[in-house]
Amino acid sequence: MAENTPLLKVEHLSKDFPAESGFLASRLAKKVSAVNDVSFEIHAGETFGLVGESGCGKSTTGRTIMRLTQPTGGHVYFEGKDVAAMSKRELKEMRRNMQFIFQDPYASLNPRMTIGEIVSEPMTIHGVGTKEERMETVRELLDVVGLNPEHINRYPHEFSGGQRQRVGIARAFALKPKLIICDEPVSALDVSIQAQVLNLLKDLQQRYGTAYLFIAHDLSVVQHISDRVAVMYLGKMVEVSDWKTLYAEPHHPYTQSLLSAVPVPDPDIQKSRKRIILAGDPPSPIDPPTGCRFHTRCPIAQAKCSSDVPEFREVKPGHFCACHFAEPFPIKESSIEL
Amino acid sequence: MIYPVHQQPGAAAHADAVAAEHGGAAVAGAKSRTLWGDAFNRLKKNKLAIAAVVWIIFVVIVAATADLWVPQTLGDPTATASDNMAGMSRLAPSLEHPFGTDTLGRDVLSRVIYGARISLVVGLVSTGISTLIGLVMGALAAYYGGIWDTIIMRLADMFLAFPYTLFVIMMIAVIGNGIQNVFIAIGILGWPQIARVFRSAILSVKENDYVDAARAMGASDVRIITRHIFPNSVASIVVYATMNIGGAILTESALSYLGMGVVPPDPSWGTLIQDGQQYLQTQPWLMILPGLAILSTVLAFTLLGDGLRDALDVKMKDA
Repeated sequence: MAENTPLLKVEHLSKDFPAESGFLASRLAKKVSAVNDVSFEIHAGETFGLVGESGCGKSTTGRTIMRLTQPTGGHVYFEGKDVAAMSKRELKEMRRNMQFIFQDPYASLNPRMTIGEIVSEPMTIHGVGTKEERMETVRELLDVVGLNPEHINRYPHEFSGGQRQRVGIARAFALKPKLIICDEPVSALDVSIQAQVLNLLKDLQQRYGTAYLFIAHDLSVVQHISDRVAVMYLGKMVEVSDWKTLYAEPHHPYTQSLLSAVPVPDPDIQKSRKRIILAGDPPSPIDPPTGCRFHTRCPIAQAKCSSDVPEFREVKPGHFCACHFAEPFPIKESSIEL
Repeated sequence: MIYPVHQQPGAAAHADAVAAEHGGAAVAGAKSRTLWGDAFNRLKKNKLAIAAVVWIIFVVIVAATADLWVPQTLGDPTATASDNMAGMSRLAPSLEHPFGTDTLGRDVLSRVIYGARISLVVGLVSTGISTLIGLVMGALAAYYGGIWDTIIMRLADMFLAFPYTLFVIMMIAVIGNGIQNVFIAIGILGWPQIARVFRSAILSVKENDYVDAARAMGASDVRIITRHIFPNSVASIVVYATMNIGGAILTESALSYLGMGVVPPDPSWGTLIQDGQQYLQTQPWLMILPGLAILSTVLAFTLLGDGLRDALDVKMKDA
């Protein structure tokens, strides 16, 4: 692997789901375009945040990278190798280095296995160590994630949501992977527990040098942990940048409206801030709008937007945006109606 | 929402919060319990189910030990006419013959006990056969889906579209009667229901994140099915199979009643009813007592199944 090869490279990734399926469904059935032409790179040890509202395809992106679902277009390269073209053996080897943390800590742990069995399972599957060595590693991991190693023989139903998520994190780190895809790992948790789990993820990253693809619908969560942030809307990536630039100078009107919805912990500033409120709901991904997918709700949309798909272009070094009118703060104060 | 992350001055507050979380769990669960252990504890509280278990164990013990004491005290259940003295025919229940005697002078209780052996073995073996076939078929259909699902489930629909008893009779007519063929016929024809129940259980379990988690770890299909899907979907099969034992006992009785099951002189609850029915007006116990044996045993398996369903329901677990 060359020095400058990114750990993960996603090129023009698309994923369509059939909207109707079954024995007698028409071959011409409509499809849901969940992810459309998404490209990005993740380098070793960095955290790449992926935000967007519910149903915009961010989880599908994560699952497709992991090959939990097959992509319908584009490529995913992990350490330079095409994930879709991997043999069973190569895929297993890749999964040793790429792990997943799930959103729902209640559904992601098998209720009939003990904590020890759950956390040691990745090591069992990949034949790491003897049974005693694995249990020793499990104890260490439980200690690292802030759980009592004595609880190794307990069952998931005996733990709280935050503790279960820690078990899921311990499991993801069992093989010391190079990349962990975190699919909204804190959104099912209480706010106070969210902070603890985020801090834990940060600590673990420093300790093991793991890269994260961090999926969330909450900009403040992503801001707390990410080096770079990508914003998705209706299956498309609309803006990518390092988080400081993105928060300071959002180029895409959608990013800007999202940022305006994040409360500021200062009542005086909060009172004087303008909120950009988008009209309507996101359109259905079964029949996405032509041109720019955001034009139906965009406060600065023009005729061009409904016909031409905006190019995902580099507006500044390392800062990409898919908007015909991309510029810092494209929405002028005067154009905002409240 | 404001995240308290920023306000937390480093690790101290973090550690405190974790400790608080620990404390909560320590109080909640002092010692580890298994889900099956919990289920057993819930079952113990269900009086009807416990009564059913006691009855089933009683029947099993009596049937299993029959050779040791029944022929000596009650008489040979399969004796033929020439072995018996005159004047023993169709005696009313007495201390010596608690269920009376039949036309050939054989003790009816002795025949009911030996009939229990056949009924229990038929119930267990044929349910075992249908469960085995049903599990494999249901697992294939649900896990691989697509064309497998279509073929297997349409085949199951075809089996279910035939009237069950007629289908069994047809099969016995083809392969001949006798106890082994009864196992085979009931066993083979019982798989579609098991396959359906198991398929739907798997389909719902398969959607859980822990199955994806296992796949993301690189687990093989066999491991995913045996370690993750099977243990979480088997509860419904345990329930269904328990109830199915009762159903198989009924079917065997029906077959024997029609003369297509057990070959005389071996006793079966079905043949006992058939023998007794012509004396319903004069010696009603000849039919009623074997009938009660079927009723109580089938009812016991059904009640046990009901009890198991309640006990094994994970959702009843305190969340």
